[in-house]
Amino acid sequence: MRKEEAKIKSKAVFVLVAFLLSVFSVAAVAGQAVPPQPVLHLGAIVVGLEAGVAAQAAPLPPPVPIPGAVEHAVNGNYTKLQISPKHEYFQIKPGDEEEFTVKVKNKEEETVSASPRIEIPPYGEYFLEENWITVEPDSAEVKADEEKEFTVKVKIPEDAEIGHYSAQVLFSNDTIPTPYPAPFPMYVNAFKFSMEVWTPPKILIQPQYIHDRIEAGQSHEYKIQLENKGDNAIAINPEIDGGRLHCIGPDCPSEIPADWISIKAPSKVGALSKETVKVTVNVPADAKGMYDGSINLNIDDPSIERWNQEVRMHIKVWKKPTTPYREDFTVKQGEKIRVEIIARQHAYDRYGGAEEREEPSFDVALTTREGGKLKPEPSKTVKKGEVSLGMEYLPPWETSSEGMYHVMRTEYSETYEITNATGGVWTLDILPKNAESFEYTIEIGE
Amino acid sequence: MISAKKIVAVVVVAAGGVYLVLTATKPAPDLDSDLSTTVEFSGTELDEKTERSILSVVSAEMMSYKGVKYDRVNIAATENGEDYDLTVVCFSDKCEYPDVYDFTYYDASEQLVQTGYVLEAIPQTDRAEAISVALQNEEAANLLRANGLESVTPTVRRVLPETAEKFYVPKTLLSVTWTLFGENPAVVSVLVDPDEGKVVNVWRNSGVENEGGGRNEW
Repeated sequence: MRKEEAKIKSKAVFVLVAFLLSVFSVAAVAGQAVPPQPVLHLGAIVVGLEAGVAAQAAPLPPPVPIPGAVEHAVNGNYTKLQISPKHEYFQIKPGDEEEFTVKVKNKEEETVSASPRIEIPPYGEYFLEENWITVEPDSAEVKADEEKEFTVKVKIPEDAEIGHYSAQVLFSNDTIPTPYPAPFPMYVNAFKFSMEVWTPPKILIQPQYIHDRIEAGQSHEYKIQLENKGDNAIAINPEIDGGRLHCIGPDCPSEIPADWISIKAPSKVGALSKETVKVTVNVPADAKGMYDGSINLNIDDPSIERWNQEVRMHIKVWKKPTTPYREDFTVKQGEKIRVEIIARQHAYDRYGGAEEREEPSFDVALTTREGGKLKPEPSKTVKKGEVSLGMEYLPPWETSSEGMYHVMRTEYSETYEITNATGGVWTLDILPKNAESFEYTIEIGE
Repeated sequence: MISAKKIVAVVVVAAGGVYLVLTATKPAPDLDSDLSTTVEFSGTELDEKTERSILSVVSAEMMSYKGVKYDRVNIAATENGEDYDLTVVCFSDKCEYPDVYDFTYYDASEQLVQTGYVLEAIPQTDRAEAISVALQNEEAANLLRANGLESVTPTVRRVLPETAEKFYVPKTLLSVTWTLFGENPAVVSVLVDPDEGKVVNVWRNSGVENEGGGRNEW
């Protein structure tokens, strides 16, 4: 999430800068004032980028070329060094060190003097300090077609802030020529790296996802266990965190109304101890459908990113049917009726809610106008399962269980039979219990 | 032919594994309940000598998770020529799921060969902690979101040191795996070192790639 946000922000900054520069260029050339309300343009651009429609959302005015810049770019008038790798990304803890070997190959026909220097981009979440990075050797003469290796060491201080950083090591001062003034120089011969400084979270959260089915008018309590593995107490302040639904369309879940949820939680989790946050969801009797929401635990631990402090909730509200499903069918005198009703459950459909669910079952009645209502007992109940030997589902460290049985799907069915039925119209009533869906088959005759 | 016979064995927990020492062919209520394990044979009916031999070799092969004692063991035998295929299911009152071992027992040589295992007899707290550690790994969390696996209940299985060595170091690890069945199954598995509380490997079969790389396909 942070990476994506950072990427979107970077894009937004880039487009914004390009836009503003274009505006300034136009203003300068035309001798006019800068157009008012640039903030509004910023909003339009950022929103457009997030929706993936930047171009349509904010058409940019045509840039005004800088005389000579285009020719400069076309001619490629800069030192040709082949840098490998050009980019690196890594995660690192405060106090740790990371080292890279960067190969610089001179593609010029004459010796190039390479004196690497550090450039910290003036944007980004956090700023690296130059003294965190060392490059060896600090200069080198690279002959034509020769390759030199530079060692880049990044040492993170113990007190560095948790977050994303970036920097580049420049092997020449050449910049990519642009036909318009660039806000920051874009260096040609650079090794760029970005990193996430992180620490293992001190608090463990379980579960982080509540997926349940609740009957309308009922309530369920969920327990979220927090375990502090650190040496100091950590403050928490769990609260309902809704309003961040990104789903658009008729099938999207609704947001769990705040007044459905009540939270009981301590204000802190003591050192090396556990606490429980109790979340009660009270579903009103008139509710229906799918609901999403989240609980932000507001843990005072900078090592846990914002989205990792959330317990996401997905609640399916359902009404237990009180009237049976009804189907009429016609039978000739003396024929046999066979009704089969099936409820299926995929392994992944099982709810991770507060309690184990009961197996499905059905209340079935068969009625004729002449013969009245029959409440037959099933002549047969069948429980079926689909079982895999795990071949395509197993991670490499679980191949020891290959060839053993893994349940993928279960199926429960009841069969009802009436022999020598009275001719006429019959009505089948099915009232499902603990089944969200079912299939039925009515067979008439032998 | 199906038969079921109960045997109570004394469990000696040793560094090398769990040893069931056969003491009686009927439940012995006077045994110290902390030490007793009820062993039940089912499937092909075996003579007492074979049962004792199987129990002896099987017990040496079973190794429970730290702090877990097997309370009930079911040994289901199926005749396979002159030998027996055995499925051994070990239950602990402390754990929701059992450990399951598959063996082939060679009757003539009285030797046992393990053919597979699914080890899920893990205390709830350890299980929950492994899931929590796995979920707090950024790569894994991104893969779960990208593949719509967030709402799937994961399996937590023990990975024995001989297997763990290939992926990390030779020690007991826990594999936390989310599986979405179907025509194009999506599986994300996270290998967790329970002692260190850290993720040592992340794997996915296919499905949606984690944006920003960091994937590990096999």
